[in-house]
Amino acid sequence: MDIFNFFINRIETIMKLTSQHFFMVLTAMIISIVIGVIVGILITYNEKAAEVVLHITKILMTIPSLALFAILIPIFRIGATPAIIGIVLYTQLPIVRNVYTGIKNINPSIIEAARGMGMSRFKITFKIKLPLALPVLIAGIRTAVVMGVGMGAIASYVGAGGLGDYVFQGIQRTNDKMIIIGALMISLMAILVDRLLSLVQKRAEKKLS
Amino acid sequence: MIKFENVTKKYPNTKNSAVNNLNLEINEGEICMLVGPSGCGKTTTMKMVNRLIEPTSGNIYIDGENIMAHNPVDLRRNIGYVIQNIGLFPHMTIAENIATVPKEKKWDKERIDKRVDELLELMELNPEVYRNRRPSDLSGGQRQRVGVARALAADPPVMLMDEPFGALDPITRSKLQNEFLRLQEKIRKTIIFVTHDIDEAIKMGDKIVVVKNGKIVQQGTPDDILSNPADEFVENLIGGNRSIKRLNLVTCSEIMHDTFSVKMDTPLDAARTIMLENGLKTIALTGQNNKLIGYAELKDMEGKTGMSGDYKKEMEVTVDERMSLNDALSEMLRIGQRYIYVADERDNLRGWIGINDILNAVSIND
Ligand SMILES: Nc1ncnc2c1ncn2[C@@H]1O[C@H](COP(=O)(O)OP(=O)(O)OP(=O)(O)O)[C@@H](O)[C@H]1O
Ligand SMILES: [Mg+2]
Repeated sequence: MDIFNFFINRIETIMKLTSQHFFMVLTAMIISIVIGVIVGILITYNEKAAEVVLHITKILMTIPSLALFAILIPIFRIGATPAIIGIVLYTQLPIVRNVYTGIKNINPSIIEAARGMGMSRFKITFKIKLPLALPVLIAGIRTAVVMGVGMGAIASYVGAGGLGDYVFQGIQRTNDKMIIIGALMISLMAILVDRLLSLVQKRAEKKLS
Repeated sequence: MIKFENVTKKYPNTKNSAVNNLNLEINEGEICMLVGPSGCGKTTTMKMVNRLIEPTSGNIYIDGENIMAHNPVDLRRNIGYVIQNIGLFPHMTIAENIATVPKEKKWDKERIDKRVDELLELMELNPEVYRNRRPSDLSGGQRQRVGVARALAADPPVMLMDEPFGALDPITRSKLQNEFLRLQEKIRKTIIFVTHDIDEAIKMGDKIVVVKNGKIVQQGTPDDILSNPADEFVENLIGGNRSIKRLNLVTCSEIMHDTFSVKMDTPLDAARTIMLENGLKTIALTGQNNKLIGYAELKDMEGKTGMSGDYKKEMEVTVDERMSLNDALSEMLRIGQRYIYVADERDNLRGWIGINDILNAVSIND
């Protein structure tokens, strides 16, 4: 019960770091989704571009996250900015790829019917393609969010704060309680957001079946 | 109304043209059937009309105007389109699907709602039940109906229908064909209808255009095609038994006889007299407005008194006067009867057809 008391006593700091972590990841995810969806839609119009872009996103993800942050520091200094940019870059692959495959897998007769009835390209994208690709997109977002929450911890190295601070301080001070609490909060955040999105995904799937 | 002038389409990286120097004119209010084997260029021909495919060379005119003069989106909103695989939007309700083009045309909500219900009723789908359902909740035949309703929504003068009744069982298919012909009598659209089923072409078409390897082999009325196939290819397409195919050309109303009928409350004596005078074994029973209710048989009436209606037997099967002789014959064969009563869409008795009438009707010209 030691750890429990430890938690209660430091609840204020822990909550502050948790919310810092959460909003950092949230901001990064919003930017990542907006960019990823736009890029994912655009590359459906050009096979060559799709190949190149998907390849780049794959390479981005193979860079160790720590190295990615290290590259960003000279350009963006330290703080939340390099952290958010790092997370955005790192989480492009699942989003871009899922938007792309989600749209490519739509039954072509559906798109042709829409075109044949005189829907504009813009309308077809937003009223037909995106809604039909939504479950696949949400699946991609789930993967991205779990990755993002984990990266948010490492972002502590570039001075972005968040629960990573707690874990790393724990390591420095060889304080098991801090390490465990930090790690638990990070996992909890990832699991909760993932669960929530899985519910959204189920609803979207149900709407399409 | 629609005119193809030297239209050719060659897809990139293919050896032969999918459509090869096609010339064709389709009159207003006419159903033009494009028929031919798979891959002969039917769909390609059709899609050039709404510019889903651009011709390599040649021109297409609608109402004398070159379609290239319009922007494709506007053009398409004025051409009804039923796609080969229906292509309903699975994430939208039936009503939303049907409302697609009216919404694009910025109709107000009230007008759209009214139109959707009207079309659902036209397609014999109860609006209360089907309006808010999704395509996945419908049977194949119902989906085809919604596909047709969606194409009709903004009341376009021209319709393109690519195998709209394909992939259905023969009974549902024949039913939808009959319904559509009935509808067409009212709406009089100019229609290009693609099929690879010659029987469908004969039944539905005002004009049939037989296509092979992107070229027109023969065009003419169904009667022309059946009577004078241009070459062996058309002959094979028609297949054997041209007389039987001809059954599809004649409707029941064209050859039916007037029939004798009595009211339900006609005294039995009077009914019997009519039957004996005319040598009838059965007589139709009607109610208000000549509505067909059943029939009575002479053998049941022998030595009885009362009303004709007392000896009523249920009429199991009638045919609609606008159905083809083919439909009438199949019904007769199905119930094993040498005659069948003909009724109109409101079930009013119109006449009867005997099996000999059908034989006579198709053997005259051969
Ligand atoms: N986008 C395309 N690119 C290349 N070739 C095509 C394309 N679309 C059709 N073709 C070819 O053009 C020819 C005509 O095709 P089309 O779809 O018009 O045939 P169809 O008569 O409608 O056949 P079906 O009865 O099978 O629907 C075929 O040989 C087909 O392979
Ligand atoms: Mg086709």
